[in-house]
Amino acid sequence: MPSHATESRLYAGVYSDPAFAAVFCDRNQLQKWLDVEGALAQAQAQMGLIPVQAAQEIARVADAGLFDLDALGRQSRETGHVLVPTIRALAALCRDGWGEFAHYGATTQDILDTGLVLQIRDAWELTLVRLRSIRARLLELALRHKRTPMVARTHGQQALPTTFGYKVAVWVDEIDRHLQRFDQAQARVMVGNLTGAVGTLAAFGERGLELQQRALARLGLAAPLTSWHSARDRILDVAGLLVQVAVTVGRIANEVYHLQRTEIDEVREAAPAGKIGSSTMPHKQNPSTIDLISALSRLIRAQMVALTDAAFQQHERDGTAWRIEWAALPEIFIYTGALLARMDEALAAGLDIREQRMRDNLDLLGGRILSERVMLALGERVGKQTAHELVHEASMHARRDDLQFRDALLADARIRGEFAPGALEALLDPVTYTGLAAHMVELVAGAARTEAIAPAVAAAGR
Amino acid sequence: MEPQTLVPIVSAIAPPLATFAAPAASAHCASGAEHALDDCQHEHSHVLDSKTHGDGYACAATRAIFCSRCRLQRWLDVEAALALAQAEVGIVPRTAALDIQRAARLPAMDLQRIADGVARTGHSLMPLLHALQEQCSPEAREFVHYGATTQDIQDTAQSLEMRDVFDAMKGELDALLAQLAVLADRHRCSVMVARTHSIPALPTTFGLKVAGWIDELLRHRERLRQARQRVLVVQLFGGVGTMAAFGPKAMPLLDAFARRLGLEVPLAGWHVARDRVAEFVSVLAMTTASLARVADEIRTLNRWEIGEVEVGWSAGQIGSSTMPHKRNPEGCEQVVVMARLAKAQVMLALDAMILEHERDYRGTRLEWCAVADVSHYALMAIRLLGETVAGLTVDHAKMERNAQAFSDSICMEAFVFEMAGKLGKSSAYEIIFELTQACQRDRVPIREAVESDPRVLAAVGEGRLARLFEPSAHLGMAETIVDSVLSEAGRRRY
Repeated sequence: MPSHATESRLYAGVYSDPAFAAVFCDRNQLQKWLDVEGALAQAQAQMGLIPVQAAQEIARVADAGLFDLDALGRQSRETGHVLVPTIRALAALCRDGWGEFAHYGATTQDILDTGLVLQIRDAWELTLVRLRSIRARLLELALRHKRTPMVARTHGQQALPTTFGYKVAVWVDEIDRHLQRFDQAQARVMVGNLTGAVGTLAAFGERGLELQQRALARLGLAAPLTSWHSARDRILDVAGLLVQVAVTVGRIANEVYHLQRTEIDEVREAAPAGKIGSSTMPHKQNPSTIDLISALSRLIRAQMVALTDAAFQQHERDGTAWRIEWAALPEIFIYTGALLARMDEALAAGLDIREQRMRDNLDLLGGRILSERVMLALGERVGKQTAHELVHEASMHARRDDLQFRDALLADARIRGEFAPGALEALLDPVTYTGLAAHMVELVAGAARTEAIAPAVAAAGR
Repeated sequence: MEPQTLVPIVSAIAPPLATFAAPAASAHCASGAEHALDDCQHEHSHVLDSKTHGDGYACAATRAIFCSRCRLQRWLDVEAALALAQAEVGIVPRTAALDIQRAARLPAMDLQRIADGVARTGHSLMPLLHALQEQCSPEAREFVHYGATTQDIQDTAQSLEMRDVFDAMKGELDALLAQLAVLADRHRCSVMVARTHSIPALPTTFGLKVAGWIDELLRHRERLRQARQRVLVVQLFGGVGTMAAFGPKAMPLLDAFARRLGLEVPLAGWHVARDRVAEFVSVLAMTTASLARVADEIRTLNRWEIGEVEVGWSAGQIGSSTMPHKRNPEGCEQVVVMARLAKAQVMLALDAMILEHERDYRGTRLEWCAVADVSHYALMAIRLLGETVAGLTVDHAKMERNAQAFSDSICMEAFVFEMAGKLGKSSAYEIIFELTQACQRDRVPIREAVESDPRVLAAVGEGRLARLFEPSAHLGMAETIVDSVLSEAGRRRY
């Protein structure tokens, strides 16, 4: 039975996502390698370097469905080599000895690195689809609640009023920057590598660079200026993007986790019928998806340690570094797939936004949450520094004697005289002190950006 | 590649070159979309479960501990032990406990239904408990998972998993240490170049180098033994660690439960105090890092330019898909890979320590990955290094030749101390420093310069020159240290 969490019969649905797993499964990996071998042969034929029939034959059999994975695994162990059994099987499948031209002049890492980029390209698209969907759902939430007042907190303590929509808009804005980063990194990342055993293209002959360009173009990839067998910055680019996404989504999950605390209870993860919180405390409805997303975000980040290690490479190629990526890169993508899928699903199921509770919590401090506003109003009359002293005193008085803030303020003759009847009450309404929160939600939802994500909204709705 | 070089190959195996032509629009574009994989179940997307590469990342020993089925069976074992312990202290009827024990067999259950249940309920244990209850008599059914919280079962099972890993580590590490001891003993007198900053420094023996590896691994063996006592404890403290649901017999129950499972009894619940697990992950990652140092050293000494050791090679093994001459030290490299992957798990284990309140599943979910992965990587690394050491050829003649070739550098410290008797150490150092640096600047052999320098000749005893240029004369305490390490390795038992 599989022994990795992403493969577990029970928990693959938790730690993995079928679409991402399909990109990195044994069969698809083999198919990508075969795609590269096929493209190489066809480009070589196009340039007259190998017979056309050879290329056609190699492309015909470059089908993972024709290969016996168990046998390849056995032969990999026997030969201690990861690709040669595949090349031998590919050659054997070709008719009339055309297989002699398979893998002509390439080195193993050419095929594996280029195949990896093809996998990255597939997973990259899946990542963007999910991320855009999450973005669309969050934007909808932000707009719906752009004027829903709630407590803003700093240091875990109540600070000032804000709106829930604005909190969400900050998340959306952050995701937008990630989408921009993906967009900018794409051309740099989607680059293959067919540069031969030590990056000199010696076995490809004088037209090696043209061959590389043609073969990679067939795969829809750009050609590198120099070999990147040991220059792994492109892989780190990808990993860095995923880690950033993971931190953002993990941060959102953590925020929901805290807002769902029973004592706060402003947001709740959806609890469909059948969902179980605890095996011994029947009342529990735990933020279990949110817990999981938080864990996944850390699992994703941890892969960065291994992947940066993999970038410290020696000489022209380096087996101590390279095979780290085989574990860490699929893992970081699969965990990211799981993280995005879980968040997307949680948002699709709908967060329960408890507006009344948000409103009630604004009154928890008896009005002290508006001390800044009162201070500024009073400051216009008595000077801001003096006002700070007076309002601070009144706040401490209210806290010590468990008074409403209004009463503590009015108990101070120096303050009482400065406000017309009813003026203080108006200042103490939290709903009218959310600054430009709603406006900034509108800015984030600006027309151009909304158009850009329109297809994702449709995709998300399916 | 010149086209004409193709001729002999092509004519031997295929239609003549006349068939060369610019290809027509290909019927088989090299795109994945062309080849449908509809029948693929997309299993094995993680490399350690991969059919083709998995055996480079995990071995049978840890697969047997962490595979989905064995993990679930272990949870059932813990539920059975709980019921039996509860019967022992009178919380559960004995007949019910025996029935739960009988029923707690995963093969009788429908794994797919359990998996579907996990997906539907979002709960990691309840579907398994329902399956267990279905296998129980109506009476026993009510006593399944009595008063325990999910994490009690899963943490205790994880302790059992860690115990199995400790056991496997012990066996494998002892075997590796035995191999290394033979190597150190055999090469106690094999003189070689010692290097610092990658540059030849002084003479040493290969035996001493290996003894240094053994000494480090002995410390890990000790750490593993000590951690074992601290780490392998049960968890049975209920929903929030108060044991409220177990009633007044909670403490005797805890003892009975631990005794049945062969685990220690903790003073207090550790649902959110995860230092034990972090220690487990750290010690394994540290051990793996030491193995990687050994593997990397072998890899470097295996370089053709150095050539002092040669990794084993069997018929059928392949180094490169395009450079037929290659014999790559893949095993050594893979040990380094294991160490770097293991290292990444430590970060997770530390993250999993920062938890809040009485329980916090954000950490548990991390441990399920980190504990299993670090175990796979650590045991795989020991296995790979064992294979590498078993197949290793130590070329002591080449070591000796390299030492002789660099003797005029690596013996210079000996000259300093020989001359120190007459000149004082600092003055002797200055003379040798000036000589050796000038020789390197002017590209002249150090030995000739030293042998003809009047200051050296005046300070070095008659007839001592040749002896001083003999690397084997400057081995210090190498053999004594090898002896003490080997005696310690033989004496200490895990």
